[in-house]
Amino acid sequence: MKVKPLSRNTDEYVKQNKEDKDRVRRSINPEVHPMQQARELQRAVNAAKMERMFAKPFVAALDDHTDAISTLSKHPGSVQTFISGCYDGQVKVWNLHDRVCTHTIDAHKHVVTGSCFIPAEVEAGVSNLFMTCSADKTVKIWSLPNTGDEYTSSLSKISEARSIFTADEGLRCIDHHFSKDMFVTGGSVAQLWDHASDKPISRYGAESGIPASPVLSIAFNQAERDSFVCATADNRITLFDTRASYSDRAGKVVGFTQLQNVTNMVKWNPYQPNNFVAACDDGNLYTYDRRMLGVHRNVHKGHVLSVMAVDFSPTGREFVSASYDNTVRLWDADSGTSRDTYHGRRMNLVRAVCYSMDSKYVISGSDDANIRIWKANASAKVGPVKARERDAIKYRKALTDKFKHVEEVSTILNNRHLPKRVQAIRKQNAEILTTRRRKEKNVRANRKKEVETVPERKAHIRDSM
Amino acid sequence: MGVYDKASAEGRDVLKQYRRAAKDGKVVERLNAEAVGYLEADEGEKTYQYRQQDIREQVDAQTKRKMYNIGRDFGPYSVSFDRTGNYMAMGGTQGNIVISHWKDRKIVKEMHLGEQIRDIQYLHNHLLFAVAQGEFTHIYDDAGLEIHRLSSHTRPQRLSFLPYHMLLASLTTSSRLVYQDISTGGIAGAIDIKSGHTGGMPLAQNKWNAVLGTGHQDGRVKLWSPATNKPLLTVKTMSTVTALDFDRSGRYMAVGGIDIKNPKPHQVQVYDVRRPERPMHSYFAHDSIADIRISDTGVMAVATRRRVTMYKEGLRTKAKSSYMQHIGEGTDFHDLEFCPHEDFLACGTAKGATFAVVPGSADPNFDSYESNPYQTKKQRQESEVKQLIEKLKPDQICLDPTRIGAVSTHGGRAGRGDQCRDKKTGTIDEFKLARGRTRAVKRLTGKLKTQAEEERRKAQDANIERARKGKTAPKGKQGRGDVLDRFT
Repeated sequence: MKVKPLSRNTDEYVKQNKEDKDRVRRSINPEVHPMQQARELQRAVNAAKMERMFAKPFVAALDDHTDAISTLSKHPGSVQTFISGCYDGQVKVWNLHDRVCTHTIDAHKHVVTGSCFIPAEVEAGVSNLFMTCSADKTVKIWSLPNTGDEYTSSLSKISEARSIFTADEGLRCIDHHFSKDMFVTGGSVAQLWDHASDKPISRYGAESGIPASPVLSIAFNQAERDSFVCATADNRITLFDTRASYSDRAGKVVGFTQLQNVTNMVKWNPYQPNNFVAACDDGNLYTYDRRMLGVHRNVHKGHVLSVMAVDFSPTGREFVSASYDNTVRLWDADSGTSRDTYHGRRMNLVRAVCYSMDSKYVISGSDDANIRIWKANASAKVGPVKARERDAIKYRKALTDKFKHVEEVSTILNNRHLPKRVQAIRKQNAEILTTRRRKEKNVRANRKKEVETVPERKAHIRDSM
Repeated sequence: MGVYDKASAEGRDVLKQYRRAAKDGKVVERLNAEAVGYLEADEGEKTYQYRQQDIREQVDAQTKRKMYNIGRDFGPYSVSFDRTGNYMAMGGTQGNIVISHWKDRKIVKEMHLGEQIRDIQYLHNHLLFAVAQGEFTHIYDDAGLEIHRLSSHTRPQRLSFLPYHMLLASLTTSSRLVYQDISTGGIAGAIDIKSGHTGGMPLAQNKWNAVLGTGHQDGRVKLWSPATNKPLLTVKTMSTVTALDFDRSGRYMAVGGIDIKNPKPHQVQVYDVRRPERPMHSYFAHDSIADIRISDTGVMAVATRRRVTMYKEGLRTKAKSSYMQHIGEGTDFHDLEFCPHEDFLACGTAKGATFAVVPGSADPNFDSYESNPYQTKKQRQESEVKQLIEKLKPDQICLDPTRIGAVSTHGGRAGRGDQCRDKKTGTIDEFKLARGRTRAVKRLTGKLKTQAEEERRKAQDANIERARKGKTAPKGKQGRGDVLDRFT
């Protein structure tokens, strides 16, 4: 007889020293883990609940400004520095990490409408220049006393503008070329400027072949560096090429698209240089491919009132938008619905928004004269995370991803409390939409001729070239 | 284009994940050092010839120490192991309860209840156990203190505990199966199993899907979930069912009972639960079958009055002969239980409990996060919290547990629509869907009826009122009537 019953050596299963961790044995036999799918689902529900429990996106409010915030810009070479422009003409430089204002500049006599940093390539590697434009008809270039993140030694005031350009009209927006010392401004028409001359070198008005209209937003492309996009008050978004302007003194129109509403801001995707997103007055954001302006790459729906500002995360995977419905929304660049919605009880109309350079924070500026700092991921932990906790967070994320389509999980993950006003408008919009759909259905059912269905990606475009 | 690319990329990712999981699995398997126990016969001998005393002479001291009896005279005894397999509780019919750390041969607590005990069952850890005694099910803690009296479990016969749902189920004398959540105290379900008197009826748990099975005196086996009042499955087996168990994979069901038509009436039939129309094969027994247990590795133990017969690898195919025989020493067998993670079988007898070694009956590789025989106090506490947080809902108990959280192939919510779906075309038969007298339909039609009556009554009242005033009824429906009628 040969017999050997199972007989375990206890020492192999229990820890030998007090300091050791308890020993753990794993079995991958599925029979040892009955109802695994249901249990994972339950874990996913718990993970979703935890995510919502930890979702505390608001970090801080910076209340140094005395009037509504009109513009925000981030330093392209620093994760900490950003500037804000105010309706009283003041510009402030901020340190995101310490949440303090490092410099205050009485920059303009009128509202600061636009701001941007001058890319490092232009000034031979020095990226401490930024420019502001205003309704007081001036563009000013300012120099930060210290580059980078050390501000403590440089609390000195910036009193003098490095250079001043005077336009013959109030300006609404500004953007700088990525490598040449040129910039464009938007007023009643778009104008191209050179650092060397104090008059614009070309205009992009009626001469360029399309009707002139006040410019609301303007942005240079990072890859095709001589082309820029500008949004005008006649609902158009137009692509210009500056290179043609040297010969005939008029901008060359590369293409345009006309929407049904005004576009308040255009921003290029920093990692997909063909794509830009337009923040529109109808509450939608539209992603365009500049090669196909007759169709939207994506329609991002969520805001209920005018979207005023948009900014991409440095990777281009996400963007953030700000709206007159008092909310800030975060989006996956590929997604038609927002990932998260931030709002505060006292946050008023949001005019400016900015994604931080480490893509961990989002900065919003609103009419209540406050700049708010939010976490880009609402439930992310600020501060050091230990390895086990990191693993747990990863596991929870994997679970919620796996079961995100299951109703129990998705309702927890997707449910957001919204301001009452937004809720009411959403409800109203939903009703309007169902009515329209019903009507369309009836028309289609009863009309003898076949009724053409317009895809959503074309439905909002009135005209294009 | 983007969507398509992304989907295919995700598909590749999933494949990658599978491959990596398979690779990791092999590494984990290598870490599992323990091997399954075995018993092999010498030439010319059979394994079933060996008795426990023969084996006792050949095994190591650690095993030898665990081969012993707990003798008491208040039987017959029911036995139950806790989930780690370290503790065993036994309850004698005459009211005796013995709690032991059986591996250390230590009696932790002994008490006499003065009431009849019909079954005993450990709950999620060794600190709580339930006893089917006298009028109700009671819950005691490890010190023998009565924690709860579950008054909705009237005259319980058999108990079962679903660890992942935290449900304690009692089969009551009045043929009800009562599920109670032991974490919240709520009744998760009370099903009338419609079987008359339930004394001696087996109640077994399919650990793979937490479905409970009852064996009835008319020869039926019914499978139950607290979510529905009707059995999930009814299997007609023999003339009477006296014992029942499922294997760990949930695929095989062993039913012990009496087939009066057969010249050898006492038999064990093995069913494939997925195809329960007829048994796959059956084993004959010499006497009436008291209990059947299937171990984690698929060793089936069949207890008759004086003998426990073990079959190895006898579920998927019929075993040519029995694996082992365990003969009771002058006592009748009443209840069996394989010890989790140990090659041992506990037998509750009329005179206490015996521990018989059954080599190869236990899965040598356990998962510490499921049940850990070497768990520390801290680990036990943590696992208890985890168990409570990850408690499954009672209505998730169904025959195919992989359906929970999976994607519906029909789209939308599963419901009556699925039943009314044409299998070929996949369209829903609206007429069929609207049929049936559900409570909702009744309520709706009732409401409509009362509304109609109300309107008719109002119209009649108006007519009477008009008649009293000497005016005729408006002719609205007959014709247009006089133009001025509309001003009346």
